[in-house]
Amino acid sequence: MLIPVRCFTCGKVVGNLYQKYQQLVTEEGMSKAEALDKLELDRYCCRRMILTHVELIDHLLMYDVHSRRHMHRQQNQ
Amino acid sequence: MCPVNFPALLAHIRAVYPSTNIEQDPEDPTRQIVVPLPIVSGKGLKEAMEASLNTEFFGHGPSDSEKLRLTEFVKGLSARVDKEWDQWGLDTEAITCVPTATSIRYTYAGAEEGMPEWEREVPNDVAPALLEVVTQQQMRELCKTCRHKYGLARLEAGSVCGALAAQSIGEPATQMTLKTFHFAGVASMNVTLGVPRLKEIINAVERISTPVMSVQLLGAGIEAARFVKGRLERTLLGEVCTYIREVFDPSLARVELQLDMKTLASLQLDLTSEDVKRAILKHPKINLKPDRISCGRGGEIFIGSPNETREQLFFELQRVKLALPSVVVRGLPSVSRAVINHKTSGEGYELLVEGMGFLEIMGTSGVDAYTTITNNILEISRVLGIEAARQAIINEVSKTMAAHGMSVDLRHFLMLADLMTNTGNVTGITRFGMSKTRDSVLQLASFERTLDHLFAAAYAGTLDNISGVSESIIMGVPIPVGTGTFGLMKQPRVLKDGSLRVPSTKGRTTTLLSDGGVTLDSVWTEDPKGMDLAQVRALALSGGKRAQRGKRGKGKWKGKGKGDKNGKKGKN
Amino acid sequence: MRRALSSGWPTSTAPPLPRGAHGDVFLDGEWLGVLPPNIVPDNVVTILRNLRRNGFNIMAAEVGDDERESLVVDAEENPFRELSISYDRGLDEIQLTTDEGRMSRPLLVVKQTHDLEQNKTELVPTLQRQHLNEIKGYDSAALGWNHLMNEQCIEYVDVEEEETCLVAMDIGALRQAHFKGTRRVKPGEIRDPVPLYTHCEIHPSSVLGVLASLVPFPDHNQSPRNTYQCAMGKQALGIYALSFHLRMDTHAHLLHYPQSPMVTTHAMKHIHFTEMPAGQNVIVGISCYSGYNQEDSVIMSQASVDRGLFRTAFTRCYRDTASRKLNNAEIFRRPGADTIGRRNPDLHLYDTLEEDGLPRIGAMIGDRKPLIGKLIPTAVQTADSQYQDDSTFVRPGEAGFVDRVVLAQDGDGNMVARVRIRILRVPQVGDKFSSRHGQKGTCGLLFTAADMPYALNGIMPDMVINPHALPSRMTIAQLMECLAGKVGALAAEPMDATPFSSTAMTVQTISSRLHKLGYQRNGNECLINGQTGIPLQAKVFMGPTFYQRLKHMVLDKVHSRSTGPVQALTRQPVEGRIKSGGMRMGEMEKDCMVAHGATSVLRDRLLFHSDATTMRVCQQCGMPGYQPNLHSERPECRHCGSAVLVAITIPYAAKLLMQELMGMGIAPRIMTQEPGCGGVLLQ
Repeated sequence: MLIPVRCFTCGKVVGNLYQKYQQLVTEEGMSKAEALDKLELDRYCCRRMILTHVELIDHLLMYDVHSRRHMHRQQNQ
Repeated sequence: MCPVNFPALLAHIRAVYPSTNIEQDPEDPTRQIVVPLPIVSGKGLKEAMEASLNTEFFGHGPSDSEKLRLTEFVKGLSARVDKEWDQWGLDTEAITCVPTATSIRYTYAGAEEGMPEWEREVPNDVAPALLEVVTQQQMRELCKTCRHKYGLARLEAGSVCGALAAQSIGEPATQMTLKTFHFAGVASMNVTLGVPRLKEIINAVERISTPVMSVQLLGAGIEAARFVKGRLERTLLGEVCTYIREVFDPSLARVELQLDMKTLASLQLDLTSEDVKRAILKHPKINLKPDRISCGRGGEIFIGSPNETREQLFFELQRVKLALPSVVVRGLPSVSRAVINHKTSGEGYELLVEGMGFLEIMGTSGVDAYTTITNNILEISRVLGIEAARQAIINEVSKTMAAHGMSVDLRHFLMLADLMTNTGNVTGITRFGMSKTRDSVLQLASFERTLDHLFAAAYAGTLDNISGVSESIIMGVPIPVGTGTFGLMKQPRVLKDGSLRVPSTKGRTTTLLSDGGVTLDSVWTEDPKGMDLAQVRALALSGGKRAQRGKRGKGKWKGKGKGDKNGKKGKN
Repeated sequence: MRRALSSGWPTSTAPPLPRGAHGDVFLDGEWLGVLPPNIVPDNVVTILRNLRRNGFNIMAAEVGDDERESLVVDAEENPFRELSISYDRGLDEIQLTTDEGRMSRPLLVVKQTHDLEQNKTELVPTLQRQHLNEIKGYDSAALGWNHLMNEQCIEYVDVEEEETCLVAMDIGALRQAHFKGTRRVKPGEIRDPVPLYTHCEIHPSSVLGVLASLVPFPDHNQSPRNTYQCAMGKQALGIYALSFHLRMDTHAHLLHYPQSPMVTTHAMKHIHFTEMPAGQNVIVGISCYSGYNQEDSVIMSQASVDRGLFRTAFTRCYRDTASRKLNNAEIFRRPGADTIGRRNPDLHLYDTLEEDGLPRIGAMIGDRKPLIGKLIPTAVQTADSQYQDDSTFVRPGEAGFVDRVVLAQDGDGNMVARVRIRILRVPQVGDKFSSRHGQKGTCGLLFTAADMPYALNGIMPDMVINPHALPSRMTIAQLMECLAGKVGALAAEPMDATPFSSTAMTVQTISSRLHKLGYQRNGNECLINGQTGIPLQAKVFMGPTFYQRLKHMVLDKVHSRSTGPVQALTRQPVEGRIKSGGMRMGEMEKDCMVAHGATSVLRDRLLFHSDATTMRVCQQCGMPGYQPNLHSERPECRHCGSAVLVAITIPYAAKLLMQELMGMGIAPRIMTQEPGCGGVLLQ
């Protein structure tokens, strides 16, 4: 749902890299391999953490009724 | 069957006890060299084995057949050793030899009993590379381990071999998946195999689904086989007629039938009209008097109505006409098919006969009654006796298991067969067969048909001695098998307050109080203080009697009293 | 559509039916009519199908070519596109169905072309390259799809109709099709030769359903293994709905960090499995290591688990209703000292509840603690006892956090409270896992990172599975998935494991790619034994494999009992984990004890640990007697007056049997004095 903090297998911190990865791939148009290399994710254990992660939190937040109502109210004000 | 796997055992012994030693090199104390140990010859092996068998160790224990197996194995081993020694030119008269690079050192037994061994050394340039190497130590250990394994295989007293046999047969039965196999060679004969067959045997089914007899012939050659087949295989009238018809005519009313003489001739069935007439007369359904049938010359047969009068003429003739095709004219009525088969072992022919009537077949001429067998247990019991039936059960069950590749120890089958035949009749393992051999009401009631057994017992006033497994469990009594084969008695203990604790004989502890009272689930007598301590002690130590449970129906109890729950008083 | 079909239908419906009428026609199960003798049902079916594909109005069937254009109905609006037409030869019935809710799937239409010059007949899909070029011009896939339907390249076939179709797996099969020979044609008659195929799969892998499509390289597995996976995939934990937070389901599981599989199938995209996956890519090593992974168990890395591998949340909803009766209603309230509680000895237990009886959200709550406080009016209303405690308690063994509380009203106006408890389920020894190839196993042990074998670059397996799981099961696809997964992770590329696909990879291609990426081409690595530091002599096959965590967890199953509740009738231990029941020693288990000769063990299990009881029996007449109060009265048998009553220890069920028999008029006498059966005193 949210990127795990560390690689399960080796413990390298990856939590801080996901957003950067997204940026490199979508905005700067890098290939996934290049992006992972740039983020210094050498081992395939760390690579799979970023590569196969599904960021569901964005979808889940759609169901956060209370915050959305609050946001709605704020927007309408 | 045999608890010892000799080749495997030998291999193990050879691995554990090496045939070489590692010693200090006499020339160079810092090095170690490999020194071969004396190798035993064939003669030496045999002698070593004899010596082992004669020891007390071997004396009590393995049966003769087991000792024989060991002997056979050792004989084979020594033969192989001798053969090798001969090939290398070694002296097989020696007991042991130590082949080195330069020489061979032999050891010989003393010339007579008690004489010491002597040695001699022979120079040799060719160092023999022997394969079958057995040292004295290895031989000793072989015999010792063999004896030990036999001991392990012994069953302890009190072992529940019945339950063991049942589980040992039942568990592989769950692995038997295929139902039918092809009968050896003959594709058309499908004998029941597998689980259904096992069920048939165990339930002692009278009419089995594929009763097959392996009929052995007295004469050799195909002609003899055909001859017997003709005598055995039943031929029905309907198969050999060209027509069977009713004939009505102003002067007569009868059933006419025409035998197909051509077919009869080609089938080599020497059947005449007279034979057929006889067969018709014998048929139970057709009650005809001999004068009612007449034979024509070309195989015609004319049959009149069974009735003297013209009563029911049409219907009677119809009845006769309908019954005629099933009249057995040749062969045994119970034999549906006989197939000539090449013998699986050896030369010659045999007949595979599908059907019943074992006794009749044995009595048929051309049949070797001594070697003919059937797979129908009940028939064997009837014809050849109960011991033969027992052996047949064993044979059939092991055949069934073996056909699926299951190998179960023979002893379990022996148990099963003995159980089924020990009464003198073949009793199946069904609720019917069991009730014949069991007395315990509770056991039978807990198996099948509960209420039937209970009511019958109540009506008869049966007493159930709680001596078997099922009823012991019901009543909470230790079962009389295994650890329950015996009772245990312990020393009574005197407690601080003077009371006496008599520990359990089969489970219960009684405490005799110092004031003479007796506690805990023990006998409460009318006057507890009336008995003194000694008396109560005696009562407790006498061991008491095991409980029995009885059932008596209404009105069969003796004695006066307030009447039982139904409010009846006195004798009813 | 129904109306259009049933009107103007050229059938003979007026009774009496003419002679030779055959071919009943049904529409949605209703009998429409029958065909006249000279009409062949096959031709009728063919005509109907053509009409369906063309989207024509039936009346316009005989319209000329030039007018045809204007009558073309777009696929979107073609009401006949969902009509299914099938002819049952055996029953001689034409079935037309228009029901809603039938399962149908799209197939390529295959037609026969007859080349007069070469006198060759070919099977050709209507879909040609030009169509593919045409749809590129469309903005949306849906429009392109419609175009293909309009062009009769594709049609939807339902289950009934598929029975009458001959579907080729792929275009290649069409090319190799031989015609089975023509039927004899009378001069002037036109009859098509029997075609070998009528349709073709859009992609061969579409013969697989939803579950089977999740298996990578299923064409490399022994078929039962694929079947097992189809069953186990339904037990895998993941995200079951995006709205899980708002839902108050009785049980629900949530995987904390789902990962999309490294190796996928085409079909997965269409099922959206990659968007809400039910598992994680685990670095799996296949090796015998310590022996804790024998017999299908699995060694897991404690370190990986600590960092969140396969962590799951388990959620349970408790509910209660406060019914609103006329005078004395039930109310949700925290019970106080004044309420007569069945079981509120310690008021502090209720601290998690707020005044309204509902717990604080976020509070930790232990098992067997009150969760929803409710008071119900007492049966007997007195001045100081009006309400008693009828609270709902947390299930034994499930302690967690209060996740969500919802208070609502039901249809009858009663207040309904639902409380959701959230429990963290960290992978533990005994929990069940499985790959996508029917290779299931439970966790055998959690090894700390120090004990795990490791490669020099720092990678160690998250999971070590035993090589013995592979030979008899022949699940080669798992090995291929692992190899492909490795390549996929290194090259950061999607790995396609679609079956029957010309684009799928072979072991050769995967291996050479792996080699080019700098790893041993067969996926083996040199690992060092974590415990000894010495490199393992054998190379270990290691790589990422998609594993699922299945819903069987040891916490839900572990159960023990020494003594506990018994049934009322038989006084034997109750059944069921929830009721703290006992495990049954059944008949076959008793047989084993008997076979061992373990008499005392049997007696212990079946008597003393079950329903042992003492019963007094008259020594003289043997009837089960009553139990006298030994202190105050003298014993006396009701049946025979004897003063000697023996106490025996029997199973309560046996006592029950005796009493039931007595109820039927049978006297079961237990004779304790009979001679000749030695040993036991006073049984």
